[in-house]
Amino acid sequence: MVANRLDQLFAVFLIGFGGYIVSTGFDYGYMRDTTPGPGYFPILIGAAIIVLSIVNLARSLMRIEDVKDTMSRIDILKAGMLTGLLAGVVLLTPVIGLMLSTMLFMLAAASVIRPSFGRSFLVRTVPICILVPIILTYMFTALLRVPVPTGIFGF
Amino acid sequence: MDVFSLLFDGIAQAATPTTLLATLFGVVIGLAIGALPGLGPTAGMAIMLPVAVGFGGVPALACLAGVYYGAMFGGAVTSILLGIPGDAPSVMTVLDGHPMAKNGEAGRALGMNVFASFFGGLIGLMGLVVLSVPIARAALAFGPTEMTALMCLALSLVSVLGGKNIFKAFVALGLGFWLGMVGLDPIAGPIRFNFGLIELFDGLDFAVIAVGLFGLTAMYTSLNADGHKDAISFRFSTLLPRFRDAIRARWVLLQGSVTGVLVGVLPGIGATSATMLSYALAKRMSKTPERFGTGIVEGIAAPEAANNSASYSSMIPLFTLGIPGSATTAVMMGGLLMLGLQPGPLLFSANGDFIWAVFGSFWIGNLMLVFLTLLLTPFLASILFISTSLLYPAVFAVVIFGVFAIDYSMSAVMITVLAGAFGLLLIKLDYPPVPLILGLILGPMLERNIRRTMIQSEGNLMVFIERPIALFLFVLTILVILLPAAIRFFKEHRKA
Repeated sequence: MVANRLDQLFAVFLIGFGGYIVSTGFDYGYMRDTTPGPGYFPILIGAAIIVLSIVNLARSLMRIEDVKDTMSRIDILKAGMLTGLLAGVVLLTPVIGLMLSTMLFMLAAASVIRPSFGRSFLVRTVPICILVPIILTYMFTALLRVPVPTGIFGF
Repeated sequence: MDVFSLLFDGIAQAATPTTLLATLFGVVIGLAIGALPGLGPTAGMAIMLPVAVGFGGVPALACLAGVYYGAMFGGAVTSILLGIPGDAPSVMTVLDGHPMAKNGEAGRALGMNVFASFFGGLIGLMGLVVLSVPIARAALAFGPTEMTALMCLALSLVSVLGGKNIFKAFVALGLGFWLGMVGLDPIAGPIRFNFGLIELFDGLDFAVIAVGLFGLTAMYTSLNADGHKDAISFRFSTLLPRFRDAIRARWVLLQGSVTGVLVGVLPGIGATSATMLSYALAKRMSKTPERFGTGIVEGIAAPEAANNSASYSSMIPLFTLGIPGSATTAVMMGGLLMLGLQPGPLLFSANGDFIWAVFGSFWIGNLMLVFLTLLLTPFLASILFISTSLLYPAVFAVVIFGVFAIDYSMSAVMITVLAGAFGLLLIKLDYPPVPLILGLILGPMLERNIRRTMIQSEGNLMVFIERPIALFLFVLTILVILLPAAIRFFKEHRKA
């Protein structure tokens, strides 16, 4: 039920988004003399997205299309948290560097995926979360010559 | 020079320490990724794309291809030992492979998998070598009009790849087109849909989107893939293949391999269809069809030979026409583009040595895979016992570093993260992600060719049907779109 409602909302969003693509396409210019302009393709694609999304919305409202809830709420929540944590890496990297922010991310991600802070967490998870970013930093810096971002600590 | 001389030259060129190391690296990573439930060759190649491209030249593609066929084999390992297909083409292997493992014949099953993968791979490579040049030569006659028709044909495959709701598949394709339009317009010049962000000036990198859409989404949807503690235990000695099994199943191996070549070469059909068709044919041709599904080596030989054969022949349309026939070859195409190579008819004339060296590396990799799989299978199987809370953070870390390395920008990492979240939403709402990737890759080419054609013809649309090759391809496009609907209609009509 929730998935179907989400499906309908997404279809409505896509109708609006298609409208945005079409209107922006007209701003770019549909034709230039006898040849297609930069807005030619956006207008066609935007219009197609609108029409197809209207069909999808109608199919969902008429119960022709039934979207199943294939993931549990906890899994969706976990995926959302992991997305947030990954975004956190992007924000933290300029401050503390990629290696350290990835270490923190890995620890947090491990805790989100399987919340358990017992002995095994300390013995297995923590060493891996420290070692993997160090190995990756070495691999990318020394072997692939990638300038891995450093932070205020100099690494 | 005939194709086999070119191939031998290619093998000699590919036998450098760097290429061998890159192939080995790719095969090992591919085997490991393929053995992870939920992560197949597409996700594996997408994750490894930035790392592989770092090798540059032939080693980059050798590494990517290594991930591809390594993951193909790795997926079959989980199918046999645990009954969990590592990826879609391994589904048919479960039917007989897992019952064999449960009957204490895991070694025979895995051994047959090695034989079938090797044999199918050899036949597929033969197809790739023999068919690529004639197809590429014929394709040289293509101008922008024919290329437009060809792109339309490739995009019509959305009707095959799109899943159960074709409307959603085409919406996903449209979204892919839109993503492909972001950045500088290649013909007229203005910057489109960049929202004022300078990072989007050059458009969106295919790899950045693909890693998020396939790699991250695959991990999000398999966070609870733990708990296979009831897996079959086995000793290393039980992994040794029985040669007489391969001799017994020789005709099935041949049939599966040929089916794989023929089906795999059709863009958009893919290895999964080849495995299903091959299994069905083997069962139909068998004197004891009732034994299929109970755990027999022929039930592994047919789909696995077809799977590996198709994985090579599916590269024919990619290399010769620039059409990625599957999500996996789309990632491979991304690798070619990142290396500054444009897949298509001109690839063989402009970069002949390079391509034959790549093909040579495939042969070496296929041979390497046989030895590695025999040695590494016990270790690969043990990956399944690693908790996702240990494994996935490490894979996420590889993704972060790899995506950053594409253009040394954390903005790329952010786009990947957003693509991952969007991919999850798409999957949850039954929007297939493959058409989106097809749109992102083929959209800009289609737009460029349509506009070039229209500029040449001064706006005359009739040019699209006046040229015979273009007309033929357009008719084929219409057939591809209408055929599934027609088949469905006739089936329903017959039922009624």
